[in-house]
Amino acid sequence: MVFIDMARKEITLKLVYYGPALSGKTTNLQQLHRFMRNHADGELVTLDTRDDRTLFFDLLPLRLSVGGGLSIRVKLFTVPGQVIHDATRKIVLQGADGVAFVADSRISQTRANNESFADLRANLNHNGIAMSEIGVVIQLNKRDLPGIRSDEEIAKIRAKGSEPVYTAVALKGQGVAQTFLGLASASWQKLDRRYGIEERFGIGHAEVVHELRRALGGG
Amino acid sequence: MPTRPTPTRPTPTRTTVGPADRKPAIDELIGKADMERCLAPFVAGGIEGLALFGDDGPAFAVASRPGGALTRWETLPPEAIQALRRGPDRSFGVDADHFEVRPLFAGADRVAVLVLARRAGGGGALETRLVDAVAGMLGQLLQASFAAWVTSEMHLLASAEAHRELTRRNAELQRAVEHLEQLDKLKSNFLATVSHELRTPLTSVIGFSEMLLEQLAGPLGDEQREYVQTILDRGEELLSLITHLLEMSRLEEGSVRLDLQACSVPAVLTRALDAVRLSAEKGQLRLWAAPRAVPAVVADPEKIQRVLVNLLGNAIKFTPAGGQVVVEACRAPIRRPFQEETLFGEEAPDAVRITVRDSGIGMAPDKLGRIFEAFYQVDAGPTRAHGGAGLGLSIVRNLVAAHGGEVWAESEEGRGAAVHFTLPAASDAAEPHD
Repeated sequence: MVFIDMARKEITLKLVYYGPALSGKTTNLQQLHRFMRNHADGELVTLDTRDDRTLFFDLLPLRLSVGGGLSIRVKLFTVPGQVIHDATRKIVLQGADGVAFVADSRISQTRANNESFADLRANLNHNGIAMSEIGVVIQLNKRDLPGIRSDEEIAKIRAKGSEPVYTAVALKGQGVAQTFLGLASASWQKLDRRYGIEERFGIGHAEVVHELRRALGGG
Repeated sequence: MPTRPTPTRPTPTRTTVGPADRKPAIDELIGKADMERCLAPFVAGGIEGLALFGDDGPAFAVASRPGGALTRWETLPPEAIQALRRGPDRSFGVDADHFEVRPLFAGADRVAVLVLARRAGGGGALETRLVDAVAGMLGQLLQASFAAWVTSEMHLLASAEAHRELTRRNAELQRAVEHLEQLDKLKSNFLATVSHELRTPLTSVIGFSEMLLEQLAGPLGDEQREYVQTILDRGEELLSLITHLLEMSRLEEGSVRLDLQACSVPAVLTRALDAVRLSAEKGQLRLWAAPRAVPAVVADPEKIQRVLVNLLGNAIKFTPAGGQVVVEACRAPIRRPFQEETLFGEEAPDAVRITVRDSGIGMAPDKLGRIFEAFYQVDAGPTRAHGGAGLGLSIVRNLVAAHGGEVWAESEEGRGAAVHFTLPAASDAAEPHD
């Protein structure tokens, strides 16, 4: 649930990177951190990592100033992908305004992707959040590996679901910014529809996306 | 002009705040005494003193020359707050004293404010770089404390969540245990009775009734022959039940050995159909196989024959006259389909799925998961009519699992049933044995 601090004129957006184990959620955050090195108002916090696996979560905070003295804070989280960390995933998902689902493009990982997506739906439900109320985008990561879903198959996935689908090679930074901007944009629109943020504060969707793009060094 | 009523919208609030979202107070991250020890060595040269304030203002830790301005501040003065907001020039003056102020972050939030007092009376200029260096170091310290703090908070919360989940599952397990204890008792009773003592006399019963039927002990009348035949049939049924029980216990011990080889699926199916053709004809059922072009499988042909004969036997048993039983085979993933979510497509069909489908009485969906349990009977009525100990499907499951495959059933009451199992495909290079 978006958090609005009237005294500080600050809106906080919580965005979560979800997906199966080792699909590249933390890598997405590390790349974003690299892109926005001059803008992040804190460090990337990575907790208790062992063998490339996130045990608790990663957090990347970002602050933007928009018109009217208002600032927008974006908190980016990742969840641990391993099945056994379900409790942590539930906690991190509390109050999420948007979710980027990072899937592994390899055909051999189909089952893991499907199971994790069903798990996302269940854990959102557990937290009283309907998937349709928040911004959800899908990233098919690891496009540079052999044995992946073809572009035609991705077009099918895109047609089947209602969520925007992005492709990425997160390790090389490809598609990372697009996914993030898509996520922030979709989440902002959902929030605006529910809470009338533009009406209340006079900041529009286009301005927010523009500022975020600038923060990523995209001008 | 009439005013348009503004639509009422919910006011956003964060209802639940986990450690992932909560901002820690400064004293949750570091002790006052530790922080003062950390600040003390910097009180030298141009620095009169240093003080750390909580994010909302109150003084937390101070290190200063005696009588320095900072020792008198109980809370952050408004000038400091203004300088903080002003950035990047974050110096300010109160009375005749000069200060520098820096925000300190932990995670996503500002958790503390550092103020440095410049030495009064010509202690020299206080270099901005030095102030930034001290603030940077303290920031790193707080960041590290934050990581430790949030880790322990998450630990606590995750354990509480896990505990709730465990309590719920415990209750479920308790119910399951009661059920299992009942089953276990039944099973032990069965297995205890099954031994040489049971098999040996049975061999005599079967052997002597065969001899009687062959009239080795003199001619039999029609009625006598009928009675002896019944003794022989029932004896053989009993023997097969005992054999099943022994096989089950061997499978559960894991002592069964597989003779794995590449097998042609059509050949395996044909052999299994031949074995049950007689009983299908007796039940007036149509029986056929419809294998598509499938690769050879890695299997122990004798064990798979047992699996198929078992499944076909069941299908025949529960299908009324005039119905049909068909065996299909196709390429499929090794695991049973994940029904909940298919957004990311189907799994790679790198195995072979064999399906035994009948047009019989079927069963309710809630029973499907349990039919592979040992001694489970769908219900008393039909089973009693058809006989059996409820071991066949349990043996099937164990044999399929030993091959690395999976077995599951689909059915609707009154609309037939389908039992599927999967076997790993042999690599194309392997030659199938027939």
